[in-house]
Amino acid sequence: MKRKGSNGGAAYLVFQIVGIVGILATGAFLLYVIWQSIGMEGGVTVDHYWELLLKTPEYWVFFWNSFKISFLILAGTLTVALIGAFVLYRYRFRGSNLLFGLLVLLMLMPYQVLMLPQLLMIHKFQLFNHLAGVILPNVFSSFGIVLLLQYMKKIPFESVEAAQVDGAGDILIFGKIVLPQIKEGVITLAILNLVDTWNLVEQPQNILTDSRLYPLSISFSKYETSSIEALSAGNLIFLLPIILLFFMGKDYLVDGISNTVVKK
Amino acid sequence: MRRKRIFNRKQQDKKIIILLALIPFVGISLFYLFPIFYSIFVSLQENRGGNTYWWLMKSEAFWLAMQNTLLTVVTMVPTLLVISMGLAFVAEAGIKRKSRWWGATLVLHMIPFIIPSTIIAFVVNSLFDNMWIQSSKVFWILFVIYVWKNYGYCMLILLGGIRNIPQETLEAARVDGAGKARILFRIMLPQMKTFISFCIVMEIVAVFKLFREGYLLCGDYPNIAVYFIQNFINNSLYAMSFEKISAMAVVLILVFSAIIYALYHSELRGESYEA
Repeated sequence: MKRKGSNGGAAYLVFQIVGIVGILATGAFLLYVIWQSIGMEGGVTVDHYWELLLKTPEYWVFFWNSFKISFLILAGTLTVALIGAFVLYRYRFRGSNLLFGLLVLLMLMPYQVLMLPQLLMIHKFQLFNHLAGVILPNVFSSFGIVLLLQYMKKIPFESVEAAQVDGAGDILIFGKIVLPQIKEGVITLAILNLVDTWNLVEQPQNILTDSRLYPLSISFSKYETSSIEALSAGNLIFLLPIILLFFMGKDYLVDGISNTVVKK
Repeated sequence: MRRKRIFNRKQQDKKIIILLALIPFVGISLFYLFPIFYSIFVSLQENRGGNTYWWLMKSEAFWLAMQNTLLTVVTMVPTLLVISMGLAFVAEAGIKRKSRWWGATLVLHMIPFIIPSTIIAFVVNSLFDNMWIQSSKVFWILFVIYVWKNYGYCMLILLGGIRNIPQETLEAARVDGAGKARILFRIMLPQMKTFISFCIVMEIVAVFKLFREGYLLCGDYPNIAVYFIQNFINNSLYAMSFEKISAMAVVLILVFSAIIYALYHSELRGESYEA
């Protein structure tokens, strides 16, 4: 006999309420920003938007910088992660596990731990005050490799071995067997990566000194003098591409995150 | 003749792959591995590291940062874990009942995760009085931000864990008369151990990421209640104490290695599983 409803009645209800509170908080947060940006004092206006979009060319420069940084990092990360993960998946060698553990360790490190030596490296390559100085270190972040490796591990290795026996080269194996099966992983990585890099604060602050190179994420702290309404409008437009992206890829993202952990 | 050609192609492919593989690993070595070794090297400079680590141990700021970080982790991580776990079970029940409500709203829980820290800091700044933010109460603000931002992500991970439990086990338990959900916990939670470990690791990382919101809200010299390790490193950087930074970096590397080892060692040996 099936029991209708749940068994942990009270707890179930509590958590349902918690979930609803979470969503409401998110909604309230977003509404607050929107509300501020359309002005409260003199009634509802979109003046701040016009002023921001049409009269502040710096904003567009910052926006374009953010765009450049995020997409270049994304392109680099996908390349590096796909290659790196595939090689680790395809070829098992003695130190594989250790290498993987090292990659996980690197992934978990907060930025400040490696900040100083990394800055020295960037300085040495004369990439200081250059967008590449922000882009390159992030491209080689091991998060991508670790994540994609998770998804690759779900592919039964027998199919790779079978293909190998049939005479397929690695490129073929990658293209026809591995890649199609980790699509969800790639999209998850892409979204998480974009969200992360759109939001970069410490690195641009430390590396970029020319304000013409600033991405949007750090431009706001310099705008001390602006009104709350203008800042809200600026922040909202800053938020928009990410929200858009999120809604485009949300199903993949949800599935991707749920399936991150491998269990054999 | 044809057979020879296929053989060459595979060899060719292999060479290409190996060459391509160098790119990521050279890059990682340059920007990550080398910095680690450099940090270790610098920290061992004076008196074989004796002076440096001694200074570090005597530094009040160091202990304050470590203490705060530990306190933060110990309070925030379990709270988030419990909340996400509860939500995951509720979500799973909702999905099982094919409730369209829960299916659609699942996504909404991920929105806080993607909201940039600058915007969060901006909203908090405009909502709360500056006195509040400079006081130790800012810790609770950060707490709320932490839970709000990360609960969606953790919930999804744990949800994946719940769905990973084989149905037969649950059916068997039910048939055997396992009563309330409470008893099911004896079965479900152990099966989710790897997912819970992964979730905990991600949560700890998220605590460190919380620094960004704290920094945007409080600046370089926050209230002592929220003075974190990253503040210590940043301020040491301004004060040009490279040795202190390196030593701190090494300490953190050791701590993280220990965490990973503790959480995954059994897994790595036992189930030939890596996360």
